[in-house]
Amino acid sequence: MSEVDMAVIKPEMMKSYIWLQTADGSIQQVEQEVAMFCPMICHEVIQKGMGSSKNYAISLPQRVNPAMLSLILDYCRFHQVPGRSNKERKSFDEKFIRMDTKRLCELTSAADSLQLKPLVDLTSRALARIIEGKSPEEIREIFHLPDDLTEEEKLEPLKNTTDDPRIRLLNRLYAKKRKELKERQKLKNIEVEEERVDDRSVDDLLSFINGDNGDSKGIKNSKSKKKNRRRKDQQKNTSANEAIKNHNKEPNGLNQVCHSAEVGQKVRAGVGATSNLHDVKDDIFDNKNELDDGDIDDEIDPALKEKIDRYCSYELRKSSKLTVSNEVTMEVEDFARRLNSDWPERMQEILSFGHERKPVHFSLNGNGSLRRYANSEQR
Amino acid sequence: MEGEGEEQTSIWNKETVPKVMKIVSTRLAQRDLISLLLLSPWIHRTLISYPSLWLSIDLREMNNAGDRLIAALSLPRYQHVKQISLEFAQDIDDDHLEVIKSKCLGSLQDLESLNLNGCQKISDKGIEAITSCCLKLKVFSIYWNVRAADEGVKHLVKNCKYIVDLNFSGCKHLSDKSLQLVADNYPELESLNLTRCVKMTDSGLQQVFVKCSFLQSLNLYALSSFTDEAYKKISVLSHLKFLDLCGAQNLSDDGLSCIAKCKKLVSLNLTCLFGIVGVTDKCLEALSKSCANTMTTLDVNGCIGIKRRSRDDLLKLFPYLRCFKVHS
Repeated sequence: MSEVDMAVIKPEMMKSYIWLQTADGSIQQVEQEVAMFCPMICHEVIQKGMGSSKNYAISLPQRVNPAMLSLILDYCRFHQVPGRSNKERKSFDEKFIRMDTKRLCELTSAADSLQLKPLVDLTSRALARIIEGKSPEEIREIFHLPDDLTEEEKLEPLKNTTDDPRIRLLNRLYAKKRKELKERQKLKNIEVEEERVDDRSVDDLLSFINGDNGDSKGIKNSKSKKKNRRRKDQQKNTSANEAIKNHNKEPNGLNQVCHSAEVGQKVRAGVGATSNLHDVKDDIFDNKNELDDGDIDDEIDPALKEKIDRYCSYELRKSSKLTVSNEVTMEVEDFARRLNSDWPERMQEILSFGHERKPVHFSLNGNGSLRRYANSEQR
Repeated sequence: MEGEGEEQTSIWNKETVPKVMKIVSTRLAQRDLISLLLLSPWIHRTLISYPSLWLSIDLREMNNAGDRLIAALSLPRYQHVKQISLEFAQDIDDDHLEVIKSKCLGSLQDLESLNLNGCQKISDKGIEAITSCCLKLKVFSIYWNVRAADEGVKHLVKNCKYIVDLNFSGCKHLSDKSLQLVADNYPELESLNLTRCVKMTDSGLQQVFVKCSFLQSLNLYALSSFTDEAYKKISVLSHLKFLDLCGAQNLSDDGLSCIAKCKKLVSLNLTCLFGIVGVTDKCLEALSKSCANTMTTLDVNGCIGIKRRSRDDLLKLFPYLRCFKVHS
């Protein structure tokens, strides 16, 4: 750039100004020493010679709107003064970050785009404190994030040109989910109502899996509880999936498994419900015997249906202390690979690592809990 | 206008918040990170793309830990996990570890720290299985496991060559054989906790002292059968900083004055339920001569042979003392 432009950084020019332009088009001038506190602006001035006049105003990143810029400049104006004590700076910072979370978020984003690390550290520390220990639902509320299920475009039915039963099933699940969400909107505060919704859904789903599609044979096969533990070599993920199934294929099989896990949870040293857990463990290895390699990709296999079953059943639970969560995690991942969709990948996250310490609403199916598990909450 | 509002919302959801969450993520514990994953698909995608966030699996105190661990290790984002904690986790046993060995081998290649504290269902078989997967393991902790025996330690030393931190606290079936294995295989060992390993004797301990000369932290809490024979050999541990001899009722001035040769001692615990009678003021002076500049923790509650043991007395000998009571 020309000499005239470079003059802006000569120290003898006391009250120099830097011209900045925000994404909305508005241009303002800022005291040089204040603006240069931001590395990004500093870079633009020194490396590219920008900012010396209105015509050469530095275009700020889109994340820096005028309101955020104003805040950032306040911060810079204070901190760029060299003589301040640590105590003064700390005190300023504490007052400075007192703002609602949304603004704090925007500020973090804006400061980050200007590479103003001290401010990013300050705001992100504050945000971390806000987030710590909270459930996803609570966090969503604080950050004004939509309930992801409503927004999730993948609730739209998938095209099913080949009439693949898996896709058919998934679409049914989505339809059910959409319906449930609508119902939940209406009946938000009526817990009793929601519990009934839960029960209906369980029945619906189980009947679907057990009878309607005519491919119920798989489920019945895998009900058996063999004691031997042969392991087949299958695709890595599938095998791992099978390995962790808690099996119980009767309609209240799931309940039993959940119950046993709840009971197990009650006894700290894990002594409780040993018999149930023992059976379950056998099943972990049993199920691999059920599947031939050929079945995996061609038909809707019992394992897949089982997965879907648990996926759905999971949704009906309020508490995150689960038996099924992890298996469904695995299964949903596998399911996703087959359908080439990453929606189930999201679901699997929901289903893994339930938060033990707090009851968590995953916003999946309202606030109702199945009463029979109500007492299982502890810790 | 509506369109603009929607666009604003969309930017908020898809760009602003995920970016901010990524920035905040480095300050959050594992469990909070997982909460973030569940917030939205965009946050999920953003966070998943940063492998450095996913180096730790925290299943402490969780039920169904075995299944959850298997599930976690099958997720792509944990392929390079460095630290796994199953402290007081429930429902994890040898079978789960066997499954991990056969199916999740790849995910444990980078594991450096494994905490199996309180996982009482795990036996030597499970130890064999899991250690065979994590050859780079540096920190191994299996506190309060009464099934672990020398056989398990044999598998550990065979598989994991780089251990620097071992916690066998409460593994009461471990004997001198384990100490021999540790001594023979871990010359770089830095931290060793043998609390309540009551089968161990002087000879096993001596082996460790002689061969693990880089030990910095040694915990011999509640082990009353050791004698000065072993205690005297502690003097060769020139890097020793933390020493817990709570319950060392056979310790005498002789032993302690040898220990005093460890010039870098920062913390020394000499409490004892029945009193360590053999330790007197004499050896405190010896200790002061070598460790006055480093000692910040000294607990002599229980050494009834030490007469001058008030706070002021101790501060005179060890001017940097801050902590006077280790086990409250």
